Amino acid sequence: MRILFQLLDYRFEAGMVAWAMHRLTGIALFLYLIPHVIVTGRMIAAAHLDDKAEAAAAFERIYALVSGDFVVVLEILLAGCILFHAINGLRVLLVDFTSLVRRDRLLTGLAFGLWIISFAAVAVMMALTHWG
Amino acid sequence: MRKILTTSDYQQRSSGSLRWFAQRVTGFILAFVLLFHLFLMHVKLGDGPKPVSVEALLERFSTPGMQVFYLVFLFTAVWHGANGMTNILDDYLHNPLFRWFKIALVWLFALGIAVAGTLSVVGN
Repeated sequence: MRILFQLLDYRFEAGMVAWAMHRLTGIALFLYLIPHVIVTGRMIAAAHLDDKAEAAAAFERIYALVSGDFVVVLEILLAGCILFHAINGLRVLLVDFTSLVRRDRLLTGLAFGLWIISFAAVAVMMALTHWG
Repeated sequence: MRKILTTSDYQQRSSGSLRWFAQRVTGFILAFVLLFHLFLMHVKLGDGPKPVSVEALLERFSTPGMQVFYLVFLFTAVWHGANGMTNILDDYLHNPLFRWFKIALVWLFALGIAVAGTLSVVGN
């Protein structure tokens, strides 16, 4: 409860929210790497089986595991994480290395705007590809 | 009495500015490499095979240029991720032993991903 009031009292600024989201999406992406490398590694190994029919069957078995509805929902969230981390990361580069540091408020707003638009577009595209 | 820290106490350890810079360089590289990776995996070219299929995987991971590309991608991503996790843990963990243990765990995971990924790209 106290934490909730502290949060409500906190004067949120776009830059601070971007910093927190950069961390959270970064953790998510690092954790994603682990299953991603394992699953795609199994798929590559399956594709390399000598027996063609066996290779196709083994590939399809793993592919079926990662193309269900639930996984696609997770993939859409993953796309959101990637887009935010990439767009905000490029903003950090501009702020760290160029004189645009004086325009940081504007850049942060632009980063959020660009993220929301690109995420919406990508999410619709992914959903239509899977369910459309 | 508590020791008053002076500038030289901090300068005994590396400032980490090289890690800071490398995090930005790898991030910049990853923005473009990841874009290319997503393009490769989702866009079907001409009358070629589906990007994620047995034929496409066999072709992709026997092309030396692609193998080099994926090794660069793998190591850049793993280092950038593990270094970022180290930075985050550094901010929140203050007990030296616990902090050391967690950071070692992050780099152990990183090593595991790097080895598994390398075997997948060049070991088949």
